[in-house]
Order: sequence, then structure tokens, then C-alpha cells
Amino acid sequence: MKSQSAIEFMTIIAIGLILIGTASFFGTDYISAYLRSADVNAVRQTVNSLVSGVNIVYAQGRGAVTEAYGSIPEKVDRSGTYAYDNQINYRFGENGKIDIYDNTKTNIFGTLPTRQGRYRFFIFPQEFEIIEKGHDLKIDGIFLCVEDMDISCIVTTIFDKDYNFENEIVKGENATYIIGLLKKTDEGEIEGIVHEINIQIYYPNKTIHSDYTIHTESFHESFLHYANTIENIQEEGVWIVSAMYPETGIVGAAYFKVKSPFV
Amino acid sequence: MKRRGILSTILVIQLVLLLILTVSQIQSEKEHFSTQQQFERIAAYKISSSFENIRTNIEFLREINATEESINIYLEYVNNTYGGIYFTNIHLNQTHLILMDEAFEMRKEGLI
Repeated sequence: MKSQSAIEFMTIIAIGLILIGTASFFGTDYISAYLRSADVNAVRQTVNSLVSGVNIVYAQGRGAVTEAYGSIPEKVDRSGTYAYDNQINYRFGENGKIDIYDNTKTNIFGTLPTRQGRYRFFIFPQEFEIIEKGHDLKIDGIFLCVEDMDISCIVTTIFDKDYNFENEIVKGENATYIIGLLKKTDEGEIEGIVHEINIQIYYPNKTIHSDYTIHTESFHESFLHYANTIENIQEEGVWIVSAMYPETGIVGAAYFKVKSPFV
Repeated sequence: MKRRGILSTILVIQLVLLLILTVSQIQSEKEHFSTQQQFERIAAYKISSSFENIRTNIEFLREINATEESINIYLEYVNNTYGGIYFTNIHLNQTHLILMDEAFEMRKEGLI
């Protein structure tokens, strides 16, 4: 009698476990698909609001400033996350397999957050001139910055071998990248702070070409900059130069296309 | 004589009215035709600029080695965005895009 009730009890438990197992097996897929689609929608909305913010500021001209809000999911992949030229792309998900992309009506120099959360962006037209190796370089366009950050803007730009602002580099030639730091607050200069900026350069196949960290000793200028050159570029396709402020996870990235000299 | 005079006056008035009606009809047709042409020009511009926009975006996604899943997500977005606004019909797959505007009987298709 005792063993019979034990068997009955075990049968009920076994059936229950089978039901729970089956439900979890199908449920997990369903839940992960739902979460993925929620992330895709959140990033799409963020990209859309950034694009429309940039277009509004472009239409209004000098002096215009606007705000945009957006949510960022986890697992953002730096190898394809940038707001540069007239393009905004967010790459995220396992192994960076989802790209959410759109384009703007004008040149942008964008800073994008890579850590999960909700962010406020500010968008404004700006112009800077930098002297680099005797060349007078002009950075002019719509800046897209993340508000309430220690460093609010990381601006990455690409110049060709003759120091022209260019995103198409001929195979075998050099590309110079310039990373500028901008703090958009009314507090004035901030001195004596050692900031680390991590720079990663990606080949067109998403593997890392170089990964190193630079230190900016202070904010004596509103637009502190750093320049370096990638020499004799061979791999054709789209390269990404991504500068990140590790403390907050904001990224200023730029891309350039390497093309064959015979095309 | 008097009745004949009245009848001929009515006839002349009728003729004048008919003339005015015909002229105004012609004018209205002309305006309608010009408006229609303007709408068609706008629709043609919209359909080709949208097509070019979608094509270049997909081209760029491919250039940055985006996965097929990403391209599908973009196409889904295109379908949702354009499907209900300018075009009554959008057919697309990974390599071929057809945009149709049934109201103006316009169609643009090509490889993407």
C-alpha cells in the first residue's frame, strides 16, 4: 500500500516535471525571441530619434541645439557602433550579430553609449580647427554628445595621406585618425584629471588591428586632441576606429573604406 | 414677332452660358491635369528616392559585414515604415526590391 502510493506520487511528480520541462524548453525560446525583439525596437527607436534630432538641427543651422533620448541594450559591440559621416549604426547582441542602421542628411560626429541604460543626447552644430603636423585641419558638422558625462563628446575623425577630411582611403596608403575630447558644460576648464581613452581599430572582418590606451593629462583646452596614423593599409572594406572612455563606456568612432587604386 | 424675339434672346443667352461653361470646364480640366501631373512628379520622386535610400542602406549594411539577420531586421523596418505611408504595396526579399504605388500606378524595382 505504501509502495503503491509512493509510485503514484512519483508518477505525478514525473508528469509535472515533464510538463515544466516542455514548457521551459519552448518558453525559453519564446522569451529570448521576445527580449531580442524588445532590444531591436529600443535601438531602432534610439537611432530614429538621433537621426531626426540631427536632421532638425541641420535644418535650423548654426546655434540650434536639440535633445534626444534613447535606450541602449547590453552587449553593444564596438566593432560596428558609430555615428560618423552621415551614418549611425549600432551593433549589439551575441557576437555582435545585429546591426541597426540609418542615415542622416548631413555630416555627424557622434558619441554613443555602449552600456545598458537610458541616455539623454544633445545635438548641436560645431566647428573646430586643429593644427596637426603643419596642416590646418577643420572639423565641421553636427556633434552628437551624451549628456551628464564626465567627458561628454569623443570625436573621432579620419584624414587621408594628404590630411584631407576623407572616408575613402586608397589601398596601400595611410589614414590618420584624430580623437578629440569635448566637455560640454559651463564649469569651465577641469585640470589635473587623468583620463584614459581606449582605442580599438577593427579590420573589415571585425577582428582587432590594434587595441591600446592613451592618457589625457588635463582639460586645458575645450577640445583636446590626439592623432595617430595607420600606415600602408592593405585590407579592403570598412575599417572602424573606436575611442572609448572606459569609466562611462561612451564611444566616439569613425569608419573609413579602403578601396583598390584601380577602381 | 415679339415671341420670336424673346426666343432668340433666350437662345443667345443659352449659347453664351454654354460658352462660359465650356471655357470654365476646359480651365478646370487644365488645372486638374496640372495638379495631377504635379502629384505624379512628387510620387515618382518619392518612389525613386525611397528606393535609392533603401538600396544604399542595404549596400552599406553588406559592406560592414552585417549578418543576414540584421538585413532582415532592416527590411522588416522598411516594410513597416514605408508600407503604410507612401506605398500600398512593397515586395522585397534579400536581393530584389519592388516598390509599388497603386494610387498612381507606379512601380520601381531592381536588385539591391
